[in-house]
Amino acid sequence: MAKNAIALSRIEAVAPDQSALGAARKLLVDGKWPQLERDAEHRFLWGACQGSGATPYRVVVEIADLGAKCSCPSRKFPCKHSLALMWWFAERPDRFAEGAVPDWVNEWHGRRRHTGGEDKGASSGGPPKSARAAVAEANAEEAAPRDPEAAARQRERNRAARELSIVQGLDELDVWIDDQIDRGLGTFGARAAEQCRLLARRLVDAKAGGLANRLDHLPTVYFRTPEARRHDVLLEQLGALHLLARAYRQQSQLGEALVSDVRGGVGWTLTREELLTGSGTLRHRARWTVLATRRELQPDSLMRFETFLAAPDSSEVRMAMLLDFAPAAMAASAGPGLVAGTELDAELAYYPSATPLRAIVAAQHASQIAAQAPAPTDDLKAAIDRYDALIAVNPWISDWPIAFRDARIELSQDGQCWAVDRDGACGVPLAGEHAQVLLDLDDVALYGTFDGRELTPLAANSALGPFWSSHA
Amino acid sequence: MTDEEQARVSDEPSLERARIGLRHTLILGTSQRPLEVPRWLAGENPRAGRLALVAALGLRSRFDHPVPPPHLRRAGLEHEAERLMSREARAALRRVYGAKKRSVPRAVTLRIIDVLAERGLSLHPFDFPLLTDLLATNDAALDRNARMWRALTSGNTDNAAPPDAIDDTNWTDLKPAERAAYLRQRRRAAPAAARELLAATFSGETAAVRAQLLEAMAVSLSGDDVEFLRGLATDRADSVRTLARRLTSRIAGTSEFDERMSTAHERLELKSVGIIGRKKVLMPKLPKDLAEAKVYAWLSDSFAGVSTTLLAERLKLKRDVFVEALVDERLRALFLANALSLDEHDTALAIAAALEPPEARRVAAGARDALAALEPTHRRAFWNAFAPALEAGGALEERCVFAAELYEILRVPPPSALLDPAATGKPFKRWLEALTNDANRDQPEVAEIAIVLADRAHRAAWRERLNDVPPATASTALALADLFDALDLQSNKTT
Repeated sequence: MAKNAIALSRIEAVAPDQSALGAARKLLVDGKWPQLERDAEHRFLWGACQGSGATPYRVVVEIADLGAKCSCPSRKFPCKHSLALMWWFAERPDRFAEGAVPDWVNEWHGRRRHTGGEDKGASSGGPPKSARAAVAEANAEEAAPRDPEAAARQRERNRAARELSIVQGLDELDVWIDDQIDRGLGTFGARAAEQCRLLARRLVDAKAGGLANRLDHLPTVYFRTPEARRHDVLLEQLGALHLLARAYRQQSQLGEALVSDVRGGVGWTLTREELLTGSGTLRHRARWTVLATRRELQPDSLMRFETFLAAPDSSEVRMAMLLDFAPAAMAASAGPGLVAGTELDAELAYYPSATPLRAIVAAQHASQIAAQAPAPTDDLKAAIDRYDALIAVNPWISDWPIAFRDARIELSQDGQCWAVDRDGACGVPLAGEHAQVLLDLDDVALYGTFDGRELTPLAANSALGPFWSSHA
Repeated sequence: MTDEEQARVSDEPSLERARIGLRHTLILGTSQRPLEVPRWLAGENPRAGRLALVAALGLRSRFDHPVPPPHLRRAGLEHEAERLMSREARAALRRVYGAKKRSVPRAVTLRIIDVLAERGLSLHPFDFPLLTDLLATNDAALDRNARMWRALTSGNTDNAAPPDAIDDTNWTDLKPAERAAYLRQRRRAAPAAARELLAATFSGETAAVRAQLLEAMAVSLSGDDVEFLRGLATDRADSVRTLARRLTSRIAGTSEFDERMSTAHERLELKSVGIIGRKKVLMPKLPKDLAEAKVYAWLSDSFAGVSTTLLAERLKLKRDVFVEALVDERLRALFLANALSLDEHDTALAIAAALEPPEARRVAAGARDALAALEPTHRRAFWNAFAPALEAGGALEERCVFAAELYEILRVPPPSALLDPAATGKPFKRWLEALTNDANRDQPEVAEIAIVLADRAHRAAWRERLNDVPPATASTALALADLFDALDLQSNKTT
């Protein structure tokens, strides 16, 4: 075997798993690779692989240690494109044209050298790194500054490139929504999953991860809605997506807080450090009661943990939600670590928003068992009015925690549980498998997440004592 | 106000009016039906106008909230805070049923239900979602709210509430098995009234239900029932006619009775066996060509419902000798059931006490319905009757499994000494050794069963011994010990 050839066994050794290899094999098709090149010294392979987006992914492999880099958003390392590039070279080296090493390859290689990123283990035949370690290393490579000023310039360039990419993604989104309108909302169900997945991938490519998640989630929202209401919900969702795209393009006309919601909705994130050190960050110390914890598996295989908190605040109740994520495989042992029915003396830092809710625990001082949830001040009508007022400010909120007092829980003729106010004029249907435990109770103080149509109970104070949905 | 704003305001009502039409267009698709976008939204780009309209309609829709229907109703749950289990008991109960690693033995669940019922305590409704295994039993002793919750969550929202108190006016609302139990109870107190209740609804039932209800007539059967039973000779179902004949044949003085006693007598063979100590033995005279599969039917046809006392008299045997002569297990099971249903309790107890361990389990299972139909005071006596078989059971696992099976039938606690850990020294050691050698082996839930069937003192003794048991095995048993201790404490406070 030639000195710089790649044996299939080496590729298998660096692959994160068998499924990545299987996916890579499917990419060994001529039409997928408009570019396959190597340098004269057989040090690097690089190429372009056509993915689902308009722009092909750029892939580079250093032959000596099979270090790789790809512009795709995969969490696996090396990704299927990198593995496929190696595989092409292992089986068909003649397919690779000889060429001068491009700047982007040199730049990447320079960063690898600078950070000592060579995978000694792989080149020396030792055990391959875990995928997670490799990803961490790859991220570290990305983040490693050559010098502070250059790094800042690079960050600015990256940021500008991302802004441009997102705007292109938003254009694609608008075209897609218009297509749905053209075909008719009535036909959406038949192609929902495939269509949304395809556009979500493009939005990931466009670095608009927040929008991609919304798109990925759309079929779930659509199909879990009763059939009679699906078209309305779809209309709301498509409308909200377009509104988000439109708001993103017109950020200069929005208030600072709403800009945070818009950018967050599209996919820009704040690190914990940025949030804690931000001068405008809203902080609130109080005795917070943990109302409930929820977990939900996302389409991207991450487990999403939501923890809802409430604290008395002058004449009303202040709410907060902590959001954590963990890989699904680790979900059993991961999580926020807060138990419903606990009272925390803690300072929370809220993410910037026109309707602040998401927060992190900035400092925790003490905790004890809560006797019950804080007493809400609103009645049901006032709570719904408050929800409407929030939508008017921030139209992208969906499930939102609300609280109200003096409710009674009864059944409709079709067996649906309802929370109604004292005179029965105002009411909300209750969702979730635990709502029925509250049946026939009067004067209930109820906390729940409201989507405008249904309320999913989180916690309640009643004559039978406190109810914590997470315990049920 | 600018012209544009003026146009917007004046267009808002029309937008509202047009919502339904626009919605239909969007469902159908603009390729099928063009969308008329209001002028102020349309601008110069048709697509932008369409998208803006979708956004506006979608956002407007967000402010539509449901309105409660006019006729909401109560589900019928009764919330009595003072009857609810204590917080400590709830916490322990959640440890038992919240841990999904192992299923909880049915006897344990039934014991919890029975203890709560005895003490007038209720499960807390907020715990219902966690207690699906417990509620799945749908046992009649489950408290009212728990049974209602089960009905509600299984989709039965109509008349989910079970009747508060069962009486002669509402007993027909019950399920067939519950109606049969009610009839048996009424037969004990007022046989004639119970018969009239049955007669009033009998013809409208299916054959299976008629037979099930007619079985209840076996309780307190007397000459007063003959006319009713003979009237069923023309019933449209053969099974009902046969059962009515069989019941009539249990009533002394009837021709059917004499005929049945004669048949039973003829089909038994009394022999003397043994060389030194001669011993009487009763064996069935099975027809020579009777297939094995038909033996039980033949035995049942020959002996079911026959009085042991009168048969012993015909055979000129004292009761003790008659019981001793029943060496055939099938005959023992049949005559145990006969004695139980004909209120010949002394004979029934004597038969039970004569049983060996493996046979005792089979016979008890065979006589399950008759044992379960006894008054609680009589059922208690059967723990003592089965005690020799239980204690001779050897391994702790076998003893506990039999005790659990008996509890499921009798539904009264065993005598306190029966599961005394001090008396289970060797079996306990062997059980512990087996667990230590293989903690994952499939084994019955010995500690759980012992804990729930033991009284307070023996429960404490068991708790102490559980220190030697691998933690994974002891966790549910310890939670059960905590639960029963908490229930004791709550009862003490209440009283």
